[in-house]
Amino acid sequence: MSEETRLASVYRQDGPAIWRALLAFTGDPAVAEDAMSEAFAQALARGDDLREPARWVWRVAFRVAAGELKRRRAFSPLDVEPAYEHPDPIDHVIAALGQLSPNQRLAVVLHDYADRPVAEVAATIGASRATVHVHLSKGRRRLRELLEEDDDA
Amino acid sequence: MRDLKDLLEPLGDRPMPDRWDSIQRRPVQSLPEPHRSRLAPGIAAAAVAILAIAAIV
Repeated sequence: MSEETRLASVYRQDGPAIWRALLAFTGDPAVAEDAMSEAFAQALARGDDLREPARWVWRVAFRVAAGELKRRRAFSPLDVEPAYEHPDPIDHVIAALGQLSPNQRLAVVLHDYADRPVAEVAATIGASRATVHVHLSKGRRRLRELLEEDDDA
Repeated sequence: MRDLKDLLEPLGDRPMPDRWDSIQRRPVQSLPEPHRSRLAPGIAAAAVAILAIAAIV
């Protein structure tokens, strides 16, 4: 199987999950789409160098998305309203995720939503597994508080 | 609090745009590196400096 065919298969198989996770992480379909396209284009450019293309694309897509959000200075809080009207009733969840720190949000979305292993989250953030566990713990607690505030309002 | 997967389930209604053809023609840029904390290397460097000064004095 050629590298292009292998990556096309990853695109069809993992693409929808990457796309949804990027949407949850960025709150912006334009950023999500660009990050995903960039990750797959980078993978294609690397050809046979990638041993685990799916894992590599997940990592790079989120790294690109995080870089873009940072560049836009839209990290915290995430401004989702002008970019995309999420289908009700998840707009408040996306907005709450946007109030987490970038690494907390990335850890929670990748691990708790997309089921990516802690080791992979660590590689994406560029931190240790222990640090990822801290981000997960703090992020979950903060998210719970924010969503409970919404419920009380 | 409900599971995050349940909370974000409606995202499944948003289909992924198929960009595979344009991806194959897309020029690539240099990749951003993950942000790494400089605290630990900084503390290590400071400790080494203090030990070096202590050894000299």
